[in-house]
Amino acid sequence: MSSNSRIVLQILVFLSGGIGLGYCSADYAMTRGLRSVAVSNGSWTTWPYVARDSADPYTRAHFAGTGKLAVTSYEAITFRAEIDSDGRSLDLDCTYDVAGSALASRWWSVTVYDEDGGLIANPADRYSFNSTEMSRMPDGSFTVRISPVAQPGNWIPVSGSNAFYLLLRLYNAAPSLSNNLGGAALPSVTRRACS
Amino acid sequence: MRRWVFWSVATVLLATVAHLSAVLFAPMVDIGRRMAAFETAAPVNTLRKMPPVGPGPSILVEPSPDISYGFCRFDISALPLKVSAPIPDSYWSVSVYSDTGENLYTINDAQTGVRRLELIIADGSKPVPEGGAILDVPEDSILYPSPVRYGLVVLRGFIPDRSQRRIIDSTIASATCAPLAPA
Repeated sequence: MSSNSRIVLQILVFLSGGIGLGYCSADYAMTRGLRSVAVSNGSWTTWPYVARDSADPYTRAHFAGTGKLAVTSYEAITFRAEIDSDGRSLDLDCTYDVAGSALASRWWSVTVYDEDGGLIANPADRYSFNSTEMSRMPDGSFTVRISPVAQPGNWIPVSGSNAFYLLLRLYNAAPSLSNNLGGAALPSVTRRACS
Repeated sequence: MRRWVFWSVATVLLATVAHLSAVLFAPMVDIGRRMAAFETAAPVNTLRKMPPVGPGPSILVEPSPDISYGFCRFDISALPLKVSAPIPDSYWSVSVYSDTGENLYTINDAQTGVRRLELIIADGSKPVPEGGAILDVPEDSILYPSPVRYGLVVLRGFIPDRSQRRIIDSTIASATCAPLAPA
């Protein structure tokens, strides 16, 4: 290999390596969140500094880059789950139980989105359950079942074979919850069966 | 050996520049494109109720099916904007966003304590006239001095269950958004 070819090759490796490394690390930090920026709690992750003047650049980039019109955490806290309680990616071929106790907020909801952020069409026109309408046990506990197969109770029908994610929205959350995002008791996401 | 060190350091420096550029600048392009979608959806200073949330394309990212939405693009460079909206019995909020999607202000039904919100969004950079207030703001109205002249107002009304969808939808649809003429 001639000396000129070697220099050209080095420059190409330098450009692709540097830009690729920078872009991929930024993409990960903006979508998944760094530990110092996003808070994880079981399957769930949230960005607590959203819509604040003091928000860090990664939080700002996460919301600007995705085009989400955020509200302050006083107004609503949004948790996102892409994995079940065992750390496996959520799969539309499987049945999941989202189960827990009543959450300390004015109202809350569980919504299913496909991997592109859209709602999944189904004949029941059902994409979520909120705390007012869902069936609950006398002690306030609940189970929302996400499944491609008909289920009794709070069933959100899904179809397809790709990944999906859940959003848990809590509006006007009590301080006991909003001040303890990483430790509050949030619903578990348990995989039951896969077709 | 020295050459490898040079290229390694140069690659790390380039990666740092690319990382910071992606974090600081690229999202602004994305949100600009997203906000531009509202421009084609409704005229300025006019409130539009969004169609019920469902599968398919939406002007909002990750819209909630449990919420009825209305929005109003605003331009307060000439006149302030008056948002007038009845407040239903269930959760309801109005948020003001800059044209870069930044949440500037939000108020909900529990905070207003009234049955009808009158929110006036005025250009906060305009000086207060000598010996007078910026505006003749009616009693029970809320004045928000906005740091930006162009942006978006978003109304959110909680739909507790399907039987109440029509009521909440019509409440959002009856809200108005219009320039406030001088007194």
